[in-house]
Amino acid sequence: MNKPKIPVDIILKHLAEQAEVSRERVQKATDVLLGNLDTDIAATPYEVVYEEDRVKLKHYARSPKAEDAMQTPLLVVYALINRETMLDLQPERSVVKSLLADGVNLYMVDWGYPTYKDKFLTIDDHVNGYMDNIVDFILKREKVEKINLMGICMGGTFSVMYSALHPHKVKNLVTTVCPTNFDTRQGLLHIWMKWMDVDKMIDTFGNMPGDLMNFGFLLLNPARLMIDKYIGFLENMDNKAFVENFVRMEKWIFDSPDVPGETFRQFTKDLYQNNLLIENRLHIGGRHVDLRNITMPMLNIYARYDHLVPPEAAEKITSVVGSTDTENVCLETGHIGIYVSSKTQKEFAPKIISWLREREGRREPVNQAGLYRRKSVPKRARSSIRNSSLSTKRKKELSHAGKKRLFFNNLQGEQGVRDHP
Amino acid sequence: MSGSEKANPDLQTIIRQWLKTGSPSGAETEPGSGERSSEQGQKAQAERLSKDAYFSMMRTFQAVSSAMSEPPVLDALFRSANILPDIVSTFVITGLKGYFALHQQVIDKMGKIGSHTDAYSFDNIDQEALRVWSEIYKNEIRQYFNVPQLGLSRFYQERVNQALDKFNIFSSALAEFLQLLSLPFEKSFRVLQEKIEDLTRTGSLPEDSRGYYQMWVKILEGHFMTLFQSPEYNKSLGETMTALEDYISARNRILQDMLQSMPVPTRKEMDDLYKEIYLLKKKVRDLEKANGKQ
Repeated sequence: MNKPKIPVDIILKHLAEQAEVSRERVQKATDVLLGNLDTDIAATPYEVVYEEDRVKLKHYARSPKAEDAMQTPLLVVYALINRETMLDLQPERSVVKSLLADGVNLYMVDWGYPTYKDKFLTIDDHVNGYMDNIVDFILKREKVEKINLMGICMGGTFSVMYSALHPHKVKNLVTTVCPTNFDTRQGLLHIWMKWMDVDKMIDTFGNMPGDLMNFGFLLLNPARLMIDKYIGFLENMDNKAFVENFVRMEKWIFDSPDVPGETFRQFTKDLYQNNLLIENRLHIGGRHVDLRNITMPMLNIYARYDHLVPPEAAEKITSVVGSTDTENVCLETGHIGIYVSSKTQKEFAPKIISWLREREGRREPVNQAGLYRRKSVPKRARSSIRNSSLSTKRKKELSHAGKKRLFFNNLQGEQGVRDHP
Repeated sequence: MSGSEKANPDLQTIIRQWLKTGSPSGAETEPGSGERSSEQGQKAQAERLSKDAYFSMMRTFQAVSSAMSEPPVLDALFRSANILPDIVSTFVITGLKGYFALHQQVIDKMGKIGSHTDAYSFDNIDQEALRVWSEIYKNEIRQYFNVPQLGLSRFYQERVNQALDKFNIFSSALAEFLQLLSLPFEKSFRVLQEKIEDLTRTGSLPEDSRGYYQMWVKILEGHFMTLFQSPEYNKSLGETMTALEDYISARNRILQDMLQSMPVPTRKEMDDLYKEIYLLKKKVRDLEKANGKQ
């Protein structure tokens, strides 16, 4: 007998089965939702060792099991958007725990919750103010000459700026899902930010409201973020572990501090709209952010399916900095998945740790100008991660320092370096 | 005036007599007539003031009466009585003309409403309705909120009108924006129906609801992505944001007016203070760093 075009009997049978499954699920879900749920985030113990205004510096206790402790402390700088708790979202998927377990001496910036009085704070205040004070504090506390700096998303952009302005304090630079090239039409965010009347917005709101930004992020993909995600929750709400992790993620996503108005204004105009950083024309606090000063080793990790910082926005930086020891690593995940997905947990933190370890013992002499000079160009790290060093061809073309200088000289010759007021 | 008083001595006498009888004690209410307690003094003063007022009024009445009794004034009075109907009709005609002109203006504006949309065009009625309303508001109604205000409270009234106007503009922009956001849902269901038709023909329909849902959410996502990259969406999003910001600014100006009269600092005052603190802290930070380097 031929199969009918509309298998009514099978459809009805499945419907009946699903109705029964749904009934059981709702019954179980009631127990789960009414029971005790462990939804705490950022549960790894830490100590606040430095405070300035709203900004705090967290220091995590190194795991006693870690045998080979790294001497150079690692400072993690998160974005001003959302919170650094994302790195320690779930006990079993915590970047913080992975780093500590491998002997990293970990510090992390907590930017806090800006209020209306912080609306005048600029990028300069964050980079040359808070960040520099924090780095000085760590250098003094740890009695070291340099730190390892790791920047996440917007915090990565700040870290790039910091490394260009204070290269003598940074031993290695790690950037993750970090936007640096804003001349792209990949990703809706880059399209929308181009036409945004940021002056009017900041003049109206003072600070950029976190809720408004969150609404904007949801609008980037409403079908998935506002419908499918919650359908997924309904389908799994009888699973206690799933519910706990889902609620943790919800807590993190909607915990959005406002962004200081002047910082947002400058970030939007100078970077999203004028792309000054990658073109080596950015000035902050009256100082030129010269990417050629980034001579320390640089590891740049980004995600192939990142809808906020698409690969095109992240990968170019290694080809324009002054360093010849650079590496691009592209992971097969999204903007948040890079930190929380079970798959990338095995790739992300281990890659950073092995890359830092390779460079841990290296000593570099100080020249008279106070700038550290590279002794020799190290062999490029061999990455076990798929699709790492995506831009190998381009890097070969551009990695030569002289060529980079030529690139910038040409750029400045054509467009002229904008004087900072 | 003094001439008139002298010309009518009898009238003064009559009033004096009347006032005498009007006083409760029946005594003469001349000032300084013997010792009084302070209460009596106040009473006497009040009586004196009222007497003065009566005299003043009567003097005015006398002056007008005597002027009116002159023959040329009487002639003018009779003449004006003759032209009274003309004056009344002029008033009435002017009033009616004004009313009809205003009415005509409103009718004209209402008539223009039709010019913003094609008659009998129902193809895009859902999408067009909001746009048409927005245009009607901007072209025909909002001018009433911009009528210049007068008087002591003109600035306050103007700000209230502005806030109302901005709120109306924001509401219509938001409605248009939300309507755009609803389009992918409408279209995705239509595409889903077509897809189900095709699958029915080929006999490859999903057998459980999850399959249909996955099919729909994928179509919906595609439609959203198409919408978000369209210039219409970006324009609408931009207009909505601008309208929201304009409304918030206008609303804040009213709040500023209200707070100004209360014993609390306003946002503007706090802004000034915050800026001063910010600049001072920056100066201290720079000085500290400079000292640290030395």
